Amino acid sequence: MGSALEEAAPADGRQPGASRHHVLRIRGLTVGFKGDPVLTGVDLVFPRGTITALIGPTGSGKSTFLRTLNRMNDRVPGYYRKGEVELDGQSIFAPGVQLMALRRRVGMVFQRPNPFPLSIMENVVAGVRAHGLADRAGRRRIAEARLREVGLWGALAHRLNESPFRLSGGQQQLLCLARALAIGPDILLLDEPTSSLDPVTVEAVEDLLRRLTPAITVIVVTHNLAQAKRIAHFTAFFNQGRLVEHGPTARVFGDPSAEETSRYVTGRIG
Amino acid sequence: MARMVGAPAGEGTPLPALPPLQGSPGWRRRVANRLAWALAGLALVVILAPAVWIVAGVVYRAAPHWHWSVLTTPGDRPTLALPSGGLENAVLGTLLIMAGVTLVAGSIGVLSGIHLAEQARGRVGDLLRGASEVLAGIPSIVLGYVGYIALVVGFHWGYSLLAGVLVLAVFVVPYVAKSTEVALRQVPTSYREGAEALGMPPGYALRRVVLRTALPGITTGLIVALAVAAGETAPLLYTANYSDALPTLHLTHHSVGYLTDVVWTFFNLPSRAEVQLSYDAALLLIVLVMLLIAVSRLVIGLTQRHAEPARG
Ligand SMILES: Nc1ncnc2c1ncn2[C@@H]1O[C@H](COP(=O)(O)OP(=O)(O)OP(=O)(O)O)[C@@H](O)[C@H]1O
Ligand SMILES: [Mg+2]
Repeated sequence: MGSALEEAAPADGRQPGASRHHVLRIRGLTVGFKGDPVLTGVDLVFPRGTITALIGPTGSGKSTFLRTLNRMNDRVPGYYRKGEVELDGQSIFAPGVQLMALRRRVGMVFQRPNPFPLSIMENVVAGVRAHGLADRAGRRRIAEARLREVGLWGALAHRLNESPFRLSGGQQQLLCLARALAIGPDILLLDEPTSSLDPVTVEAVEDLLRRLTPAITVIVVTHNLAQAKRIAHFTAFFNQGRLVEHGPTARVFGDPSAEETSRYVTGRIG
Repeated sequence: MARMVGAPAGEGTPLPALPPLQGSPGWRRRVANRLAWALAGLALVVILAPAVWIVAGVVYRAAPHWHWSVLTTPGDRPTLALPSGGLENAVLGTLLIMAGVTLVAGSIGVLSGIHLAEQARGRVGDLLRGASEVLAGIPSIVLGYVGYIALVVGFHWGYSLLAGVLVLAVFVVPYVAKSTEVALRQVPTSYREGAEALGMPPGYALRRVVLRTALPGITTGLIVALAVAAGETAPLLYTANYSDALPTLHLTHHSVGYLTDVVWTFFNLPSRAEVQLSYDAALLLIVLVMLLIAVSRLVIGLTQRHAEPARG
């Protein structure tokens, strides 16, 4: 994988994060819900400060994989798992691990915007408040900083006490991004975050994700192959519960080693 | 997948050609449509008509002789205007009983609803739900009698506020628990997952996000339960008895007056003043229930400012 890192450079010529450490390492991960496994024997590393795109046909296990990384599957009935996920060398499944702490470090944004029925302001700092990270004034500053970061401050500065459900879908999604960023995660998991957004907002989100690296490691599930090419340093291709191929984005798309990958990225399966 | 019109045979059954955009739907559909609307309208009338009739009837009979002093005159202090006394004792008694029921049934019911929705799965949950349904099925007069044996006689509480409140609370707890459980189950998974993904501890997420979303359902259930409790007479006859004197804050050994008893008893008494009082009491009960509903709307309105608009 070391050489893969060197090769990795997205189309705009940026270099991946300075640190070569793998912030996340997945080893022999098998996951299922009752019956047959949904994911089998996944080995994968995520270098710190990079963007990795997870691609693959529908039902290939991308969301299941993503949700395993912050243990969102734990409470799903019938869930079982083998293998390891190591965050900075420590198993996230070890008995002493605090879910609260894990999820502060590993944030998540969902496919459909899911603001809480609180005011816009309270939404942005919901996590900050839950973790007791700042007092009232501090929360206000954090809210402003994060709304600026996602580009909503201009539109929302005077509407902070309104309901988030009066915002457009794209604005709601940006709000959810701001909410996830507000608790300062190391890793951000995104499950098809732009699939319901208009092209302009998609571009805004992509710009934001680029700006977040190398401070944050981004893992993003996407069905939009062009998006993967635009933003991801690395791409992992899943098919039928297996990780088929993983490497620098340019190589996975330009010179895939597996026949399956080649068929998928040229639009012949999926 | 686009619908294939007149798809080639072999690829499933071909569908009939598309209908023209203009023109009327077939008569079957029109008749079915009209019928459905007519039935819905009829159902509305069936519900509304008796309600309007009762309220109008009570107002019509109570209003002409209404004296504001019924609110300030207890039953044991007749005045010139009110030769049979007033209703202050009964109004205060009903308010006290309702406050007690809100406290006891509200807390126990909402907590058990939370437990049923969030924790009790599998066999324990089924057992609890079954028990709650059995309790809901017991007629109130039976509960009143059990309360009499156990509380009034067994615990030596005598006829008392506490015995009345407890029996009524037991009577409505299943409603409160059920409506709380249903309201919590309707909270979208996306709220819970969003809270979970931010690392909120389960109890915190419940308070800050989930309960707030479920509050309209919970409040409505509680109000219905209170309205039912306010209208009950049988269990109170056995436990609170009745008193013409103003209620005290003694929990035991003091009978308490309440409006439903006035409605029921005074209506059958010979004097006009007493029959008049029974209409006044009925009117006050109706006003009380309406106030309850208004307060609940207010609570809902204040807490749901940021709620997701209902999806049609
Ligand atoms: N909670 C669950 N219980 C049972 N099976 C599940 C559950 N979640 C996912 N699965 C199964 O796991 C498989 C992979 O699902 P997953 O959602 O991970 O796919 P995906 O790659 O994200 O697909 P998509 O691109 O459509 O989002 C599917 O066959 C699905 O039915
Ligand atoms: Mg998915």
